[in-house]
Amino acid sequence: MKHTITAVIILFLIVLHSPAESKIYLDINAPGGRRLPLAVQDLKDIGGTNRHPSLIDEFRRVLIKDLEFTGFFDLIEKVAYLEDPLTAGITAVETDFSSWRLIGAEVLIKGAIKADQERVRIDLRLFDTIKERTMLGRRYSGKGNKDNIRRIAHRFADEVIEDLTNVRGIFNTKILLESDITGSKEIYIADYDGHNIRQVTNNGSINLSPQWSPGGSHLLYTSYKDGEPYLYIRNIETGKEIKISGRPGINIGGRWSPDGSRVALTLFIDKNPELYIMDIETKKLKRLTKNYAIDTSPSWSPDGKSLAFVSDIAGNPHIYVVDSDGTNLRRLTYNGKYNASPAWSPDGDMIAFSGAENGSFHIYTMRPDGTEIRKITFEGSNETPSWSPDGRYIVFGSKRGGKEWSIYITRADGSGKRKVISGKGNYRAPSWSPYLK
Amino acid sequence: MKRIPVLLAILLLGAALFAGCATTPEEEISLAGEVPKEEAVMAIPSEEELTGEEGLVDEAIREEAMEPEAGVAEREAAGIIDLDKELTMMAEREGMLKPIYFDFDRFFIREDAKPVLDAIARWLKKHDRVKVRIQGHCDERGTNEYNIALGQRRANSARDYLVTMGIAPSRLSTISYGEERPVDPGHNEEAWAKNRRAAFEIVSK
Repeated sequence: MKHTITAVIILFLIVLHSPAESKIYLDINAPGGRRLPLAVQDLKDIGGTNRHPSLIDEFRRVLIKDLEFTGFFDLIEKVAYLEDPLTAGITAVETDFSSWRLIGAEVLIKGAIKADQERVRIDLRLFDTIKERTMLGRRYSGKGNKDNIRRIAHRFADEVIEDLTNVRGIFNTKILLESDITGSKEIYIADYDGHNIRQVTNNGSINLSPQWSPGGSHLLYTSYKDGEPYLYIRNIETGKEIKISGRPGINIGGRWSPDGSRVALTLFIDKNPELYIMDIETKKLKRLTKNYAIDTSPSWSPDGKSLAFVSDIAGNPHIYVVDSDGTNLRRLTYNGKYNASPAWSPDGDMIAFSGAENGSFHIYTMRPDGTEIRKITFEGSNETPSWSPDGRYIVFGSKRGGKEWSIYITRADGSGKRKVISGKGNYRAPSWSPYLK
Repeated sequence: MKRIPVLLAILLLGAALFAGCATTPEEEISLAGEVPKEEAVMAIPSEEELTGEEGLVDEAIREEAMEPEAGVAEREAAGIIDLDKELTMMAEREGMLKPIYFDFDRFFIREDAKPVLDAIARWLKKHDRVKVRIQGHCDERGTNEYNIALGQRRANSARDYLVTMGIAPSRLSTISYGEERPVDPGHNEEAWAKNRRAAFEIVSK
């Protein structure tokens, strides 16, 4: 399923925002914030030679799933709608806002679809039913296949969220992950909601810990394809790759610095596995840790000044933070006997990690000083959390009910969990992309 | 010098076992398991033979195996047989190169592993051309990154022990597979205990 060039969507701005309208409808930081009652009308079929009910259904399904995942909305079911999508218009003047207010809707999405043989055009609007005005208008056109319909729904959902919260949505982001469905562990890429999964590596070896470059164009991962665990950088689009660390022993735990110029990694070139920072250009190494323990799984703070990592310096694996010059080492976790895979949030205000409790692992979040530890998973065994670029969501691997490992997404507070990738094989070690172009 | 023929004998037996047989690795393995008993008994030198009457054994094998010897190189070059794998299997049939096991999240050599390593050291001293790669493995618990680091420490522990027993470091290489290559796919303590191991494979490089 190649979806590279067909992905071109032409996008027009129909209605511009005036600065006066930059009010935030949803303050996501307000505790116990109220959910916004939302209605999503079916797309109105405004012509074309063929009818497209399946595309209309698919569009609504994807848009609603995106918006519901945010937890910002209360969706009003379609059966309650008083306006007939076949006869009512899609602009503000053609909309009877009182009929929407009557069923409790405060925001409303309406749109129309027009198709010819190959292409579709979708016009979409977001209305404030109280003020009776258009908050957002967008026109998308492109090939009329299901993939593109999904993409358009994701794009509009991004716009809606940005309009209401002033922070762009993450519905066009992707996830890198490992899977062994072919019999060997390869790297895969999928949409954030698990759709459009496709294989990235195909070398029949062991491929691990995929990580995004800050710009989203490259992938950093460990592979055994040349016999030993070396670190590689791969262009996701072209497949071109280079080995950036191939020292004897292990070359693992590679993580890009936020500015993209360096990679933190674990090497075993002294007496035990230590953390280093490698300059990608010069390959020069700077040593970060010096102890008798395993130091691995680094995670950069968004300002690049510190790294969280795992060390068993105290006898068991725990989370530590060190400045990027190797000074100011401090321990963050004390509970339990196994805490691992720290992930620093994009805002820098939280660190997610997985910790063992009675033999199974759960995902926790905490402040970067180790306080306010909060458990956000409660079922099965859960590992390797990774943040969405807006810091609102977390993707993680989960094994439940004796089944294979699957990929789940959740809001950062643990609500709204959704299984997005599962199947015959194991799906693990997800890494959420930055915003993609 | 005297030991070279013994190694040669092992090489040749490996070739003989596979003469005119397998073309895929899977078949090689299954065929190797069906080796006729007498052949194996005849070819594998016993402990006494190795230490004492080495010459006799060498002679017996060299004659009948001259011909297949050419085959070994050709077949190996053609990728039909994996010489390292055959040597490893030979050593295993001799009861050598058994894995050693570790405690959860630990890499120290347990008391029960020491006799195993001592035997491996003795065997390596006898076969002084043989090089061994030590694989470090972990059970499935924990993250695979941490486990790769831990597996490397296990492999290194085994290597360091063998070095202190007098084996040249140049003959010992290491690799960690973390939790990626379990011998037992189970999800219980019994399986985990088997998977927390250092395993030994012969490499010709």
